[in-house]
Amino acid sequence: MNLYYRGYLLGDVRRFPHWSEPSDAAGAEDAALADETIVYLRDDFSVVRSPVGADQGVLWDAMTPQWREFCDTVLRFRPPRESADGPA
Amino acid sequence: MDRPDLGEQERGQAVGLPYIVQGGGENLADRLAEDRAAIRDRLRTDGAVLLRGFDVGGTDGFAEAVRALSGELLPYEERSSPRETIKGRVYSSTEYPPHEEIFFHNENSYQQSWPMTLYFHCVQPPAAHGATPLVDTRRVLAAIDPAVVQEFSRRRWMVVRNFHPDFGLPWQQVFGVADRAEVLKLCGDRDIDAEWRSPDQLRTTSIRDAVHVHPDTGEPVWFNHIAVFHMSTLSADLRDGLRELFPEPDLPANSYYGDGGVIPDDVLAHVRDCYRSAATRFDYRRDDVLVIDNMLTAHGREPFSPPRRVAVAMAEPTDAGARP
Repeated sequence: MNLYYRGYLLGDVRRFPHWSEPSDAAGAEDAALADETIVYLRDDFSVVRSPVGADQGVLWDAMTPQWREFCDTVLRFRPPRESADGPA
Repeated sequence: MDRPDLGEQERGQAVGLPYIVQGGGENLADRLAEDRAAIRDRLRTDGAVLLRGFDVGGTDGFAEAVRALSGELLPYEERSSPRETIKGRVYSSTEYPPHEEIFFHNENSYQQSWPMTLYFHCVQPPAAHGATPLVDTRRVLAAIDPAVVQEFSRRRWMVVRNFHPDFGLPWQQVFGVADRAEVLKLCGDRDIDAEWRSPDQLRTTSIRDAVHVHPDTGEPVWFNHIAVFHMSTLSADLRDGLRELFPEPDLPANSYYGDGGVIPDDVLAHVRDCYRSAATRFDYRRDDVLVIDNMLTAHGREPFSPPRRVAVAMAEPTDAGARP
Protein backbone atom coordinates (compact mmCIF):
# COMPACT_ATOMS: atom_id res chain seq x y z
CA MET A 1 0.00 0.00 0.00
CA ASN A 2 1.36 3.39 -0.93
CA LEU A 3 -1.45 5.85 -0.45
CA TYR A 4 -0.82 9.44 -1.38
CA TYR A 5 -3.34 12.22 -0.80
CA ARG A 6 -3.63 15.91 -1.39
CA GLY A 7 -6.11 18.21 0.31
CA TYR A 8 -8.50 20.47 -1.61
CA LEU A 9 -11.45 22.69 -0.95
CA LEU A 10 -14.62 20.85 -1.89
CA GLY A 11 -15.67 23.93 -3.86
CA ASP A 12 -12.67 23.45 -6.17
CA VAL A 13 -13.41 19.78 -6.68
CA ARG A 14 -17.07 20.54 -7.38
CA ARG A 15 -16.04 22.54 -10.41
CA PHE A 16 -15.79 19.23 -12.28
CA PRO A 17 -18.82 19.41 -14.63
CA HIS A 18 -19.96 15.86 -13.88
CA TRP A 19 -19.41 16.06 -10.15
CA SER A 20 -21.92 14.42 -7.85
CA GLU A 21 -21.59 13.27 -4.30
CA PRO A 22 -23.58 10.98 -2.02
CA SER A 23 -26.69 12.66 -0.64
CA ASP A 24 -25.72 11.59 2.88
CA ALA A 25 -22.12 12.81 2.58
CA ALA A 26 -22.57 15.43 5.30
CA GLY A 27 -24.13 13.02 7.76
CA ALA A 28 -27.58 13.12 9.23
CA GLU A 29 -27.22 16.50 10.94
CA ASP A 30 -26.28 18.68 7.98
CA ALA A 31 -28.11 19.46 4.79
CA ALA A 32 -25.00 19.55 2.58
CA LEU A 33 -21.27 19.95 2.76
CA ALA A 34 -20.05 23.51 2.38
CA ASP A 35 -17.67 24.51 -0.41
CA GLU A 36 -15.12 25.32 2.28
CA THR A 37 -15.03 21.70 3.45
CA ILE A 38 -11.59 20.16 3.09
CA VAL A 39 -11.54 16.91 1.12
CA TYR A 40 -8.67 14.71 0.02
CA LEU A 41 -7.85 13.42 -3.45
CA ARG A 42 -6.14 10.03 -3.34
CA ASP A 43 -3.56 8.66 -5.71
CA ASP A 44 -6.25 6.32 -7.09
CA PHE A 45 -8.19 9.52 -7.97
CA SER A 46 -10.96 8.89 -5.48
CA VAL A 47 -12.08 11.74 -3.20
CA VAL A 48 -12.55 11.16 0.52
CA ARG A 49 -13.49 13.31 3.48
CA SER A 50 -10.64 12.14 5.69
CA PRO A 51 -7.29 10.51 5.02
CA VAL A 52 -7.31 9.03 8.51
CA GLY A 53 -9.86 6.80 10.15
CA ALA A 54 -11.57 3.53 9.36
CA ASP A 55 -14.37 5.25 7.45
CA GLN A 56 -12.73 7.69 5.09
CA GLY A 57 -16.07 8.85 3.67
CA VAL A 58 -15.74 8.29 -0.07
CA LEU A 59 -17.30 11.18 -2.02
CA TRP A 60 -16.20 10.21 -5.51
CA ASP A 61 -14.79 7.06 -7.06
CA ALA A 62 -15.65 7.32 -10.77
CA MET A 63 -12.28 7.12 -12.53
CA THR A 64 -13.35 8.44 -15.90
CA PRO A 65 -10.85 9.89 -18.39
CA GLN A 66 -12.60 13.27 -18.00
CA TRP A 67 -12.10 13.17 -14.25
CA ARG A 68 -8.41 12.32 -14.60
CA GLU A 69 -8.04 15.15 -17.08
CA PHE A 70 -9.73 17.55 -14.65
CA CYS A 71 -7.46 16.39 -11.83
CA ASP A 72 -4.40 16.95 -13.98
CA THR A 73 -5.23 20.21 -15.70
CA VAL A 74 -7.49 22.05 -13.24
CA LEU A 75 -6.58 20.64 -9.83
CA ARG A 76 -3.01 20.01 -10.91
CA PHE A 77 -3.01 16.78 -8.98
CA ARG A 78 0.13 14.94 -9.92
CA PRO A 79 0.99 12.32 -7.34
CA PRO A 80 4.72 11.70 -7.15
CA ARG A 81 5.84 8.80 -9.26
CA GLU A 82 8.51 6.43 -8.15
CA SER A 83 11.33 6.71 -10.61
CA ALA A 84 14.70 5.08 -10.91
CA ASP A 85 16.03 8.15 -12.65
CA GLY A 86 17.01 10.05 -9.55
CA PRO A 87 16.77 13.79 -9.21
CA ALA A 88 16.75 15.67 -12.44
CA MET B 1 -8.01 29.40 0.04
CA ASP B 2 -6.11 27.25 -2.42
CA ARG B 3 -7.00 28.03 -6.01
CA PRO B 4 -5.21 25.33 -7.97
CA ASP B 5 -5.67 26.78 -11.45
CA LEU B 6 -4.42 30.31 -10.88
CA GLY B 7 -1.11 29.45 -12.38
CA GLU B 8 1.04 30.05 -9.35
CA GLN B 9 2.53 26.58 -9.71
CA GLU B 10 4.02 27.64 -13.01
CA ARG B 11 6.57 29.72 -11.13
CA GLY B 12 8.31 26.53 -10.13
CA GLN B 13 6.43 25.70 -6.99
CA ALA B 14 5.95 22.13 -6.01
CA VAL B 15 2.90 20.47 -7.47
CA GLY B 16 3.07 17.38 -5.31
CA LEU B 17 5.04 16.72 -2.20
CA PRO B 18 7.36 14.96 -1.87
CA TYR B 19 9.62 14.39 -4.87
CA ILE B 20 10.63 10.72 -4.84
CA VAL B 21 14.12 9.42 -5.54
CA GLN B 22 13.94 5.65 -5.94
CA GLY B 23 17.07 3.72 -5.07
CA GLY B 24 18.12 0.27 -6.17
CA GLY B 25 19.43 -0.94 -2.82
CA GLU B 26 22.65 1.06 -2.88
CA ASN B 27 24.08 2.81 0.17
CA LEU B 28 22.14 6.00 0.89
CA ALA B 29 25.02 8.15 2.12
CA ASP B 30 27.06 7.24 -0.97
CA ARG B 31 24.19 8.18 -3.27
CA LEU B 32 23.66 11.48 -1.49
CA ALA B 33 27.34 12.32 -1.73
CA GLU B 34 27.27 11.51 -5.43
CA ASP B 35 24.08 13.45 -6.24
CA ARG B 36 24.37 16.09 -3.54
CA ALA B 37 23.94 19.17 -5.74
CA ALA B 38 20.97 17.78 -7.67
CA ILE B 39 19.13 16.63 -4.57
CA ARG B 40 19.72 19.92 -2.78
CA ASP B 41 18.40 21.77 -5.84
CA ARG B 42 15.31 19.59 -5.78
CA LEU B 43 14.83 20.32 -2.10
CA ARG B 44 14.80 24.05 -2.80
CA THR B 45 12.21 23.75 -5.57
CA ASP B 46 9.91 20.97 -4.40
CA GLY B 47 10.41 21.44 -0.66
CA ALA B 48 10.67 17.75 0.25
CA VAL B 49 12.43 14.70 -1.16
CA LEU B 50 11.61 11.10 -0.29
CA LEU B 51 14.56 8.73 -0.60
CA ARG B 52 13.15 5.22 -0.99
CA GLY B 53 14.73 1.85 -1.67
CA PHE B 54 18.19 2.57 -0.30
CA ASP B 55 20.40 0.74 2.17
CA VAL B 56 20.27 3.25 5.03
CA GLY B 57 22.55 1.36 7.40
CA GLY B 58 20.72 1.91 10.67
CA THR B 59 21.15 4.92 12.92
CA ASP B 60 24.81 5.40 12.06
CA GLY B 61 24.07 5.21 8.35
CA PHE B 62 21.21 7.68 8.74
CA ALA B 63 23.50 10.16 10.50
CA GLU B 64 26.08 9.64 7.77
CA ALA B 65 23.42 10.39 5.14
CA VAL B 66 22.56 13.64 6.91
CA ARG B 67 26.22 14.63 6.94
CA ALA B 68 26.55 13.80 3.25
CA LEU B 69 23.75 16.19 2.29
CA SER B 70 23.77 18.83 5.05
CA GLY B 71 26.84 18.58 7.25
CA GLU B 72 26.84 18.16 10.99
CA LEU B 73 23.66 17.25 12.87
CA LEU B 74 22.12 19.76 15.28
CA PRO B 75 21.14 19.14 18.90
CA TYR B 76 17.43 19.49 19.73
CA GLU B 77 17.43 22.58 21.94
CA GLU B 78 14.64 24.68 23.46
CA ARG B 79 12.41 21.74 22.73
CA SER B 80 8.64 21.81 22.75
CA SER B 81 7.98 18.11 22.68
CA PRO B 82 9.38 15.01 24.31
CA ARG B 83 11.90 13.10 22.21
CA GLU B 84 14.11 10.21 23.09
CA THR B 85 17.74 10.35 22.04
CA ILE B 86 18.37 7.31 19.88
CA LYS B 87 22.06 7.96 19.40
CA GLY B 88 24.15 11.10 19.26
CA ARG B 89 21.98 13.75 17.60
CA VAL B 90 19.47 11.31 16.16
CA TYR B 91 16.19 11.51 18.06
CA SER B 92 12.87 9.73 18.08
CA SER B 93 10.05 11.67 16.49
CA THR B 94 7.80 13.39 19.00
CA GLU B 95 6.59 11.03 21.72
CA TYR B 96 2.93 11.98 21.74
CA PRO B 97 -0.12 9.79 22.26
CA PRO B 98 -0.73 7.73 19.10
CA HIS B 99 -4.40 8.67 18.89
CA GLU B 100 -3.63 12.42 18.81
CA GLU B 101 -2.83 14.37 15.65
CA ILE B 102 0.14 16.72 15.67
CA PHE B 103 -0.86 19.67 13.52
CA PHE B 104 1.32 21.15 10.78
CA HIS B 105 4.28 23.21 11.89
CA ASN B 106 7.78 24.21 10.86
CA GLU B 107 10.30 22.84 13.27
CA ASN B 108 11.49 25.32 15.89
CA SER B 109 9.90 28.28 14.12
CA TYR B 110 9.26 29.83 17.55
CA GLN B 111 12.99 30.04 18.14
CA GLN B 112 15.47 32.72 17.20
CA SER B 113 17.15 30.25 14.87
CA TRP B 114 15.96 27.00 13.37
CA PRO B 115 17.17 24.08 11.26
CA MET B 116 16.83 24.60 7.52
CA THR B 117 16.73 20.88 6.81
CA LEU B 118 14.91 18.05 8.59
CA TYR B 119 15.40 14.32 8.16
CA PHE B 120 12.96 11.54 9.01
CA HIS B 121 13.99 7.88 8.90
CA CYS B 122 11.22 5.28 9.05
CA VAL B 123 12.63 2.50 11.20
CA GLN B 124 9.29 0.79 11.81
CA PRO B 125 6.32 1.68 9.60
CA PRO B 126 3.09 2.24 11.51
CA ALA B 127 0.48 -0.48 11.48
CA ALA B 128 -2.02 2.05 10.12
CA HIS B 129 -1.87 5.75 9.19
CA GLY B 130 0.91 7.59 11.05
CA ALA B 131 2.15 9.48 8.00
CA THR B 132 4.15 12.69 8.19
CA PRO B 133 1.75 14.87 6.17
CA LEU B 134 3.36 17.74 4.30
CA VAL B 135 2.24 21.12 3.06
CA ASP B 136 3.97 23.76 0.96
CA THR B 137 4.20 26.93 3.09
CA ARG B 138 4.16 29.06 -0.07
CA ARG B 139 0.75 27.62 -0.85
CA VAL B 140 -0.45 28.13 2.72
CA LEU B 141 0.55 31.78 2.58
CA ALA B 142 -1.19 32.23 -0.77
CA ALA B 143 -4.34 30.59 0.58
CA ILE B 144 -4.70 32.67 3.75
CA ASP B 145 -6.97 35.69 3.55
CA PRO B 146 -4.69 38.70 2.82
CA ALA B 147 -6.29 40.61 5.70
CA VAL B 148 -5.25 37.84 8.10
CA VAL B 149 -1.71 37.84 6.74
CA GLN B 150 -1.56 41.61 7.03
CA GLU B 151 -2.75 41.49 10.64
CA PHE B 152 -0.01 39.02 11.58
CA SER B 153 2.60 40.92 9.59
CA ARG B 154 1.71 44.09 11.50
CA ARG B 155 1.28 42.61 14.98
CA ARG B 156 3.58 39.54 14.67
CA TRP B 157 2.76 36.58 16.90
CA MET B 158 3.62 35.52 20.41
CA VAL B 159 3.96 32.17 22.12
CA VAL B 160 3.58 32.00 25.89
CA ARG B 161 4.87 28.84 27.53
CA ASN B 162 4.56 27.88 31.18
CA PHE B 163 6.72 25.19 32.71
CA HIS B 164 5.03 23.62 35.70
CA PRO B 165 6.49 21.08 38.08
CA ASP B 166 5.23 17.57 37.39
CA PHE B 167 3.52 18.58 34.15
CA GLY B 168 4.94 18.51 30.66
CA LEU B 169 8.59 18.93 29.85
CA PRO B 170 10.74 20.18 32.75
CA TRP B 171 12.42 23.52 32.02
CA GLN B 172 15.77 21.94 32.83
CA GLN B 173 15.29 19.54 29.92
CA VAL B 174 13.96 22.21 27.56
CA PHE B 175 16.81 24.65 28.11
CA GLY B 176 19.53 22.23 29.10
CA VAL B 177 20.48 24.07 32.31
CA ALA B 178 19.69 23.40 35.97
CA ASP B 179 20.14 26.85 37.49
CA ARG B 180 17.20 29.27 37.80
CA ALA B 181 19.30 32.34 37.10
CA GLU B 182 21.10 30.68 34.25
CA VAL B 183 17.88 29.94 32.40
CA LEU B 184 16.96 33.65 32.52
CA LYS B 185 20.28 34.58 30.99
CA LEU B 186 20.00 31.90 28.34
CA CYS B 187 16.51 33.10 27.41
CA GLY B 188 17.76 36.67 27.19
CA ASP B 189 20.45 35.57 24.77
CA ARG B 190 17.76 33.97 22.61
CA ASP B 191 15.35 36.92 22.54
CA ILE B 192 12.93 35.23 24.95
CA ASP B 193 11.35 37.05 27.89
CA ALA B 194 11.46 34.78 30.92
CA GLU B 195 10.15 35.20 34.44
CA TRP B 196 9.76 33.01 37.49
CA ARG B 197 6.07 33.15 38.47
CA SER B 198 6.78 31.05 41.54
CA PRO B 199 9.79 29.08 42.72
CA ASP B 200 8.56 26.24 40.51
CA GLN B 201 6.86 27.91 37.55
CA LEU B 202 8.79 29.45 34.70
CA ARG B 203 6.97 31.50 32.07
CA THR B 204 8.56 32.37 28.75
CA THR B 205 7.27 34.72 26.09
CA SER B 206 8.64 34.89 22.55
CA ILE B 207 7.51 37.29 19.84
CA ARG B 208 8.28 36.23 16.31
CA ASP B 209 7.33 36.94 12.70
CA ALA B 210 4.59 34.93 11.04
CA VAL B 211 5.85 35.42 7.49
CA HIS B 212 9.49 34.96 6.57
CA VAL B 213 11.47 35.06 3.36
CA HIS B 214 13.34 31.92 2.42
CA PRO B 215 17.03 32.88 2.45
CA ASP B 216 17.90 30.85 -0.66
CA THR B 217 14.84 31.16 -2.87
CA GLY B 218 13.67 34.61 -1.77
CA GLU B 219 10.09 33.37 -1.56
CA PRO B 220 7.77 34.49 1.26
CA VAL B 221 6.56 31.60 3.40
CA TRP B 222 4.05 31.11 6.21
CA PHE B 223 6.56 30.00 8.83
CA ASN B 224 5.43 29.88 12.44
CA HIS B 225 3.91 27.81 15.25
CA ILE B 226 0.73 29.88 15.54
CA ALA B 227 -1.71 27.09 14.76
CA VAL B 228 0.02 24.17 16.42
CA PHE B 229 0.50 26.09 19.70
CA HIS B 230 -3.02 27.54 19.78
CA MET B 231 -5.45 25.93 22.19
CA SER B 232 -8.19 25.71 19.57
CA THR B 233 -6.04 23.31 17.53
CA LEU B 234 -5.94 20.69 20.28
CA SER B 235 -8.47 17.89 20.45
CA ALA B 236 -11.52 18.77 22.55
CA ASP B 237 -10.58 16.27 25.27
CA LEU B 238 -7.07 17.62 25.60
CA ARG B 239 -8.16 21.25 25.45
CA ASP B 240 -10.86 20.79 28.09
CA GLY B 241 -8.48 18.91 30.35
CA LEU B 242 -5.86 21.65 30.17
CA ARG B 243 -8.42 24.39 30.84
CA GLU B 244 -9.57 22.53 33.94
CA LEU B 245 -6.00 22.32 35.20
CA PHE B 246 -4.75 25.81 34.37
CA PRO B 247 -6.09 29.36 34.10
CA GLU B 248 -5.50 30.98 30.70
CA PRO B 249 -2.21 32.75 31.50
CA ASP B 250 -0.74 29.55 32.95
CA LEU B 251 -1.54 27.20 30.08
CA PRO B 252 1.48 25.11 29.04
CA ALA B 253 1.49 26.81 25.64
CA ASN B 254 -0.72 29.16 23.67
CA SER B 255 -0.29 31.60 20.82
CA TYR B 256 -1.43 35.22 20.60
CA TYR B 257 -0.86 38.22 18.43
CA GLY B 258 2.53 39.72 19.15
CA ASP B 259 0.99 42.54 21.22
CA GLY B 260 -0.71 39.95 23.43
CA GLY B 261 -4.10 40.20 21.76
CA VAL B 262 -6.24 37.08 21.55
CA ILE B 263 -6.35 35.46 18.13
CA PRO B 264 -10.00 34.71 17.37
CA ASP B 265 -10.84 31.04 17.00
CA ASP B 266 -12.35 31.63 13.55
CA VAL B 267 -9.06 33.10 12.34
CA LEU B 268 -7.28 29.97 13.55
CA ALA B 269 -9.93 27.76 11.94
CA HIS B 270 -9.30 29.54 8.63
CA VAL B 271 -5.53 29.16 8.97
CA ARG B 272 -5.91 25.44 9.73
CA ASP B 273 -8.16 25.04 6.68
CA CYS B 274 -5.50 26.67 4.53
CA TYR B 275 -2.95 24.13 5.70
CA ARG B 276 -5.27 21.20 5.16
CA SER B 277 -6.49 22.37 1.76
CA ALA B 278 -3.00 21.99 0.32
CA ALA B 279 -1.73 19.07 2.37
CA THR B 280 -0.29 15.85 1.00
CA ARG B 281 0.56 12.57 2.67
CA PHE B 282 2.04 9.18 1.81
CA ASP B 283 2.44 5.90 3.64
CA TYR B 284 5.86 5.19 5.08
CA ARG B 285 7.82 2.12 4.07
CA ARG B 286 10.64 0.70 6.14
CA ASP B 287 13.89 2.64 5.59
CA ASP B 288 12.22 5.55 3.83
CA VAL B 289 14.21 8.72 4.46
CA LEU B 290 12.24 11.94 4.07
CA VAL B 291 14.20 15.18 3.70
CA ILE B 292 12.37 18.47 4.21
CA ASP B 293 13.27 22.06 3.57
CA ASN B 294 11.94 23.30 6.91
CA MET B 295 10.95 26.72 5.58
CA LEU B 296 9.26 25.60 2.37
CA THR B 297 7.43 22.65 3.90
CA ALA B 298 5.45 22.28 7.10
CA HIS B 299 4.89 18.83 8.52
CA GLY B 300 2.64 17.14 11.05
CA ARG B 301 1.85 13.66 12.28
CA GLU B 302 -1.26 11.65 11.71
CA PRO B 303 -2.73 9.54 14.48
CA PHE B 304 -1.49 5.97 14.12
CA SER B 305 -1.80 2.39 15.24
CA PRO B 306 1.40 1.23 16.93
CA PRO B 307 4.05 0.19 16.40
CA ARG B 308 5.62 3.19 14.67
CA ARG B 309 9.22 4.31 14.96
CA VAL B 310 10.58 7.28 13.06
CA ALA B 311 14.02 8.72 13.77
CA VAL B 312 14.59 12.44 13.29
CA ALA B 313 17.64 14.60 12.69
CA MET B 314 18.04 18.32 12.06
CA ALA B 315 20.75 20.26 10.26
CA GLU B 316 21.82 23.61 8.80
CA PRO B 317 20.92 26.25 11.36
CA THR B 318 19.72 29.60 10.16
CA ASP B 319 18.62 32.66 12.05
CA ALA B 320 16.11 35.47 12.18
CA GLY B 321 17.97 37.23 9.40
CA ALA B 322 15.45 35.61 7.08
CA ARG B 323 12.80 38.19 7.98
CA PRO B 324 11.08 40.09 5.20
